[in-house]
Amino acid sequence: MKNSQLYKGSLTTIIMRLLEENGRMYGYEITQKVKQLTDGELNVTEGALYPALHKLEAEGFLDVEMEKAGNRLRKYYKLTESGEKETVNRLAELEAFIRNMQALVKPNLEI
Amino acid sequence: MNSNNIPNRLIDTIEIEKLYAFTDKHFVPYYDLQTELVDHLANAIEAQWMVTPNLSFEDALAIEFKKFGIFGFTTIVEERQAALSKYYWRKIFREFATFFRFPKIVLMLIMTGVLYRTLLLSSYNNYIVLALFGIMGIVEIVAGYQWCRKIRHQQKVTEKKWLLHDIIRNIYIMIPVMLFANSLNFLFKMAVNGTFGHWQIAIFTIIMVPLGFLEYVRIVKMPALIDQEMARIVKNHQFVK
Repeated sequence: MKNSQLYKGSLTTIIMRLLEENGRMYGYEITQKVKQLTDGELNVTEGALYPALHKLEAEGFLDVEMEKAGNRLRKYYKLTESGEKETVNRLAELEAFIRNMQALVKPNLEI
Repeated sequence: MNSNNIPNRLIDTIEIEKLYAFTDKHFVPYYDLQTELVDHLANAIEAQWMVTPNLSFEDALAIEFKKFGIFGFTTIVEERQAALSKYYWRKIFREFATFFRFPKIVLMLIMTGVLYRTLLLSSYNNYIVLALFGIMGIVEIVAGYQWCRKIRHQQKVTEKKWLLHDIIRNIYIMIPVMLFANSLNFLFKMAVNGTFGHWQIAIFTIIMVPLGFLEYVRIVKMPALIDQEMARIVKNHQFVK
């Protein structure tokens, strides 16, 4: 992931936000969606994505659906009820973080 | 269609089998995890073929595998194991917590009282303590052995290995080792040094009764819940042609 230290803490929030918007998605689709939305700037690595998805699933925030896709099986993730509530909380937290960072960084930019 | 108007090349059934074998070779023996990785690799390879249709399957796979980093799939397997263990323990503790609420807490208090009183009145309470540890240890070992037999049978039937099964087996092996191997020396000293005093009995009872209930939840209550969960996982991973 580009600038991994900065993005790392927000990966689960990014995943939950995407699932909130798109209903259900599979792993590869999430990596492509992030790439597309950020014009290729942000690249979610496989090694970071799947652990994050599995952690959210184990915490009960994501539910899983398996489906046949051509000649293979596909695992879809979607938000559970508690996952939807958690997404709202995490987004609010992230927005507050962005606001605070802007307030902190802005004065320096104006100099 | 790609830019050359050639129909997009797709992963065929033989290549899917090769991908399963590839994940197995790279230390992912679990079918549930393999399935997810196979679909990911297949999608990524097909995306490469849209740009470079003549790229061989093996070369495309090598490029994609590189993206998983120097540890390959290892990190994903480890993190998945950690997540599933957490999930399993959370289920146990949720059930265990019900023993601290009415009406089950009454049973817990009665058993604590009975054990405390018995140990207090007995002149050989050190042997009772040893016997209780022994019984718990034997129950753990027997339950662990039965679990191992059961998963071996299920793996034979489904012809697949499942991560949740292995995690529970590891816990069955880990607990007796942790609980008993570490306390053998301590228990031996206790047996030799004679009977327990008032405070030792109180502390032992407060620890032992909840531990017994925790063992009950793990060994008696959990297998049914895990069977339900496994039935769901296996059903989800059945491929309908």
